[in-house]
Amino acid sequence: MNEREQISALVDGELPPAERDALVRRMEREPALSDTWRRFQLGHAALQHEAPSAVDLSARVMAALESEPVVLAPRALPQQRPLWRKTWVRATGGMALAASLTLGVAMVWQTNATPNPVQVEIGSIIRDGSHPQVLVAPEVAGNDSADTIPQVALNDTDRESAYMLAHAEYSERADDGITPYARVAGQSEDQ
Amino acid sequence: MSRRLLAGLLLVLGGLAAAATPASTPVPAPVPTMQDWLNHMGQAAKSLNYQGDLVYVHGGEVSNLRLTHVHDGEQEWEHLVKVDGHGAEVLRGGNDVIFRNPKGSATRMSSVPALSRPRKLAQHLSDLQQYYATSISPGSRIAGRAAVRLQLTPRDQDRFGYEFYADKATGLLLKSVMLDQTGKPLEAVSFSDIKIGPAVGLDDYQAARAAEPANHLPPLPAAPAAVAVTGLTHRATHAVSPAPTVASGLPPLLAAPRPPETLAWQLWMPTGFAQLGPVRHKRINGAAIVLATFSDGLTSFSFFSERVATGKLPAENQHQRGATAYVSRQRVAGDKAWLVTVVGELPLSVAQRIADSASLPGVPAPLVASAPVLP
Repeated sequence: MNEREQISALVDGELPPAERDALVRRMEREPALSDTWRRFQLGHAALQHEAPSAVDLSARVMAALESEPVVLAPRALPQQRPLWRKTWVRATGGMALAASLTLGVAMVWQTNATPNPVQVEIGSIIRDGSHPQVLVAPEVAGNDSADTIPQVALNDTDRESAYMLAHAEYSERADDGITPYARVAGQSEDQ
Repeated sequence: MSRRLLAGLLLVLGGLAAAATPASTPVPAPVPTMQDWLNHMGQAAKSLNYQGDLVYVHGGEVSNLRLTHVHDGEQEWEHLVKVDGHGAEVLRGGNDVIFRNPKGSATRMSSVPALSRPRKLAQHLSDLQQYYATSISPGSRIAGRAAVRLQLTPRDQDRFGYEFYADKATGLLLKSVMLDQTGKPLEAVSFSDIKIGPAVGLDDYQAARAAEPANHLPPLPAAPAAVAVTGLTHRATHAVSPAPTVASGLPPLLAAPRPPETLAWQLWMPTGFAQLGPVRHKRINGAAIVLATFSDGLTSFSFFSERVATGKLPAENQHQRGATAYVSRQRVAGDKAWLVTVVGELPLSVAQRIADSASLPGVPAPLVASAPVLP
């Protein structure tokens, strides 16, 4: 895995802990590397539609980015060799064009939005007798601002649909493909 | 007999045996194992283009669906539509998953491209024999195609059994049956007609997407100023002391990976389950949700934690539809409240036990100064 792929995996939360720690140590020493991480992080946030929308300029740039065909439209066939990271790395490349316009705004957002960021615990498995137990972080202590409570709570039907959908999306099973989403659609009239 | 003499004798015997073996004897092809088939099946589902009619049966209900799946070399694009009843539709592609339910409302969330998902399945499958007895046999034809039947019978009462019918030519799953602990079918999904190959194109997906009234869809979440969700999930906090800046300008998140302020749910779960990917923070239709997914390679479940207002705690809920158990429980700690939910293909009693076990050990004192963690 090259440096960019490592950073990409870090942003996706998929870098093994040992590699992650080594990369973080390098980023503390190498500003260029940390700049790359920051750009990837912004690109990822944009692709996940999680970028801030309150700032006009940023919102306009994000809207432009969202219109990039690589994000919203299927590629033309024929086939190419699968290379999953290419998609958002390419989009991040698109971000670079906009970076000259957005970087200042984005940095302000980063600085203002996360003055004291702390990391949420990644689930860790502990053992108690014969059964494993797992720790799943619900939130960070002290983060009791209203942002964690939705203004309008999900109703039971929407919650169940949303949870079924998320479960189907994040499960990786041997029967991926037809079964998880067939369940979502097939059970929809029961909810 | 001296060691040297014995070694010489063995060498001569070995040479004779080698000489007696014809050089042209074909080496038999290795017989695919259950793990090989399941890996093949998972990869085929993601990487092939296919379109067909599906029948989904659960609890005496029958649904007819039409599925189109295209892999364009980089991403998957999928359209699944329920063609009877009031209709329902799932559109996946371009980092986006949209579900329109029969009542007309829609749920939209950002997705993880399948090819970027953690490749832990193979690792889990290597442990599968501990939890399932397996057998492979020729299967009957499914949707006109020769199939191989893969049977997995659970060795304990904590999970269900499976019968998979994989396409002999491509490995694609053609039919799946889930069985309860007594071997009785709980649900089945099967193609009744299927076309596999590059002739399946993007037309269906594009038409469905174009027909999607954009203004009927909830917008994808724009992160509020105080919440940024990235691969290394982090949030602003108003309680911790200002973190030191570093010369590179790198957010101090990375320099202090595990602060002691973290809260964490503690769960019981059956043996053999491991976490898939990181704990994820999502906004779904405006609600802030934390979720983690676990799998033993076949069976999976997701644990959801949704922060809710203490005065508006949603009702607890539990049911089993087909193979899917859904159990939600209320949790209150001090002035905070959550709805925790388990969704997965598990016996209801197991899902209940997982949800009931959710607790917050070691909650920092300021959060629970006035009330103990419940239950």
